[in-house]
Amino acid sequence: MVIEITEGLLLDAESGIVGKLLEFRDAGIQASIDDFGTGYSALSYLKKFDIDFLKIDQSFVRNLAADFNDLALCEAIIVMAHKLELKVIAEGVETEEQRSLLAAAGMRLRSGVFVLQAVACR
Amino acid sequence: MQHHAQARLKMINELRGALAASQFRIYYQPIVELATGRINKAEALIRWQHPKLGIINPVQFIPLAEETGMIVEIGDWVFKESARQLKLWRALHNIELQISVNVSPVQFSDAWRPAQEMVHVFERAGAGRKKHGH
Repeated sequence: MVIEITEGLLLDAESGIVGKLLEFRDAGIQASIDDFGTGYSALSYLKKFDIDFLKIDQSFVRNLAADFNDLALCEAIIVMAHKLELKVIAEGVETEEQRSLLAAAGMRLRSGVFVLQAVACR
Repeated sequence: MQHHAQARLKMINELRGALAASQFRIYYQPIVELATGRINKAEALIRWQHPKLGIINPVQFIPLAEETGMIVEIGDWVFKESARQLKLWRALHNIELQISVNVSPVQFSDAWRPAQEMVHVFERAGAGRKKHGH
């Protein structure tokens, strides 16, 4: 299992948060930062906390093809994350163009467009 | 204004009964590997299947659940239910599968004994990574 938390939580973090995240870690539960890049971020939390995944917010992905700045930000986040040995997930990828731009930038994972509902089989 | 306040109170009251009445559903959004199209991860997303209003999205009720503290109970349920589903999917389809659940900052508040409860649930559900040799 993975828990998704937001940057804001880590920013006001008291030492209690570190302990709670470590408890999850000990149980084999990983941590993911949701909506990365949209909150009040202080990148120092990336070294202070044991984080496994960054999810790039869909606002960066939406205009990827048209907005060079968004592409530059995505590329920079991907490089930074991989150097820190974090996995990156792109949220809100809807077009083939977005997919190929992200793949060229080194992105390996994206969230899907469709959702599945588990079928009860009791 | 008054109408808005009344609607809000009504929703809070209905939210209180929703868990017991099994009105929450979890949808799983796959996370896809760009190169291969493989799905080894999914995100659990909650929806409220309201008996009269139909499906209610989390943006409409999670803030109320956070304000009232109900998010702790709802969050525990999402975690428990996702862990149960993960165990099933791992056994049936894909041993590598991971499910992620959103955890509200409110759930991290001081009073919350997070992990013990959730971790026990997780271990009971048998969805721990260690058991599969990772």
